[in-house]
Amino acid sequence: MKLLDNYIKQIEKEIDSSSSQGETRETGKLLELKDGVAIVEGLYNGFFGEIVEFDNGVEGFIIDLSEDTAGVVIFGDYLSLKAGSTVKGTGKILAIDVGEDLIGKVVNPLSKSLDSKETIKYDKLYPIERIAAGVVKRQPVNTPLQTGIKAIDTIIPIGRGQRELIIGDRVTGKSTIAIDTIINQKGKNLICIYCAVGQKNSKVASVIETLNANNAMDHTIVVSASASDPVSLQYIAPYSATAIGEYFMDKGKDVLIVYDDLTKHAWAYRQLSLVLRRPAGREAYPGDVFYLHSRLLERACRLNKENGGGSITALPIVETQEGDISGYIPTNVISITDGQIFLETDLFNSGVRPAINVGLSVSRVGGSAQTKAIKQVSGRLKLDLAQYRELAAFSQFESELEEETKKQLNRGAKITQILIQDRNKPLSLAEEVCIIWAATQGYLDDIPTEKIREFEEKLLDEITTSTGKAIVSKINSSKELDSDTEAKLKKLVSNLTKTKL
Amino acid sequence: MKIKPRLKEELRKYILNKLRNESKNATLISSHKLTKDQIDEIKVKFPRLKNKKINLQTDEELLAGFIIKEGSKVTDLSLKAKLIQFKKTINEIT
Repeated sequence: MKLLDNYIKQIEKEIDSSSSQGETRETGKLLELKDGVAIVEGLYNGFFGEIVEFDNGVEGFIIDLSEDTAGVVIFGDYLSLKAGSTVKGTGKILAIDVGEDLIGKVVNPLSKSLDSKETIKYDKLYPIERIAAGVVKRQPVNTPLQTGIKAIDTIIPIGRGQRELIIGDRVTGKSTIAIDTIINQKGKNLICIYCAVGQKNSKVASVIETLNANNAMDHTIVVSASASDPVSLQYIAPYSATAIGEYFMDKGKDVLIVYDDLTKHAWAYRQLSLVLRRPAGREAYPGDVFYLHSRLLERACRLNKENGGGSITALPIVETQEGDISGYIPTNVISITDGQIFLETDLFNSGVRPAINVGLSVSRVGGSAQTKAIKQVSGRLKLDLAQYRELAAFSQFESELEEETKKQLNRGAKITQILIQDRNKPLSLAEEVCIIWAATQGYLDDIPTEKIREFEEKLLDEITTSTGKAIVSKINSSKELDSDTEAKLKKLVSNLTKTKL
Repeated sequence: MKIKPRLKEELRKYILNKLRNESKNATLISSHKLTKDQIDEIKVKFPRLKNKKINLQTDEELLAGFIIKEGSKVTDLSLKAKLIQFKKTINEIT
């Protein structure tokens, strides 16, 4: 009985608060219904982006205005709509509820809970489309975003506020890199948003499971518009994920958003545009497909102190066909972002995982955000790898090699081995520094290539559990490799190599 | 379909004229037939209807109250709309 009383009380409260006193609303008539898009006659004073309501309660928003009709994208079930039914304007711009409570939840692009565990408490209303922060509000990237992946942190570093594209064919481990990055942010004061666009439901489920298994859901929000959701929801998903991110950014917090993936987002937009009969361009994408992604990724930024100092880091993912990065969407997104991580099928199949092509991957701004410790060891690493690549191609024709060349080839092979890393096992800053230091100082040169992984495990074991603990805590706290610590590390590593031989 | 420019101009003028006339009209849909006094009372509440030609219609499905339609603008003051709103509120709170 008490439950019922509460229920009635709540309804009374709701009705009292809603002022349904005869407001005048803009209306129209449903003229045509296409796949997920309705053409509406009337709504003469409707505006772009306005939310409209169909008579069965389904909502939509205006995406196209012509002289006497309006194109409305429908959220939800459009099969129950009938031609001739009335459409009411609400006078509200498309916005979603956001709040602190979203953390740890799985939501749809309208920020409604999908796992129905509990109702979400919202705090504010944020517009889905917002103009990105201007130049005066920004500052350069200066804080690193540790991915916990050796190859990325050393060679292609990412800073908070950067936009780094992850690009590659299907099954090359694109999502894995993003997921590992999210897992590594545990206790690093960074809120992660994983935005799935047009993904298989099974894949999203396994991502959530992975995050749960690694206790990463405590700082993560999953925004999902799967392949079975209406195209309209897939279209707005990245924008609403960014709106959620902006809520936290405006509170001065750091946010990481993974868009998985933007190719499918472009497909969703292409479908909408073709149904709306907009002129099609290259690969049948509409003319504004560049703006589609540029306005989205521009919203990633690092605000300066006067504006709260928050940041949004964007990790968009783009899928290529057979390694072709000169496709329409890949080139567009490459030119928008501050660098890319390029993954290759050949590398992946030969066991180099993460399958990062170090030659084609760049980070245009992340270098300035690297910690001192990483900078100290990574400079040599890049040089060694570049020389190795050059020589590796050249030495295939040459039977007799100079001693110096052999040395460089050997070093390169060892470094390639050391950059291999298991999935879902991100490393801490100190662990990365110690291993890379050992590799670039030449301690691994005498170890056979197939034993490198074994040595790495031993070294990690040594520095995390026994004698090396002091080194790890020193590097993790001071974020640099001073001469004292380096000497200690030197002793430890050379002892380890001796016992091995 | 291509329309001759001259014809198009004429058509545009015709439609604009028609639209202008439409803005002078308003439709009043009520559940029951309204008396003259009742209409005058509504006009007092909605002064913008004063200079408009009012088109009267009845629709029993509204149960009570009335709806004013001016072009694409609709003011819904019917009991039916209130009940639908009520139904929605109940469904939302669970």
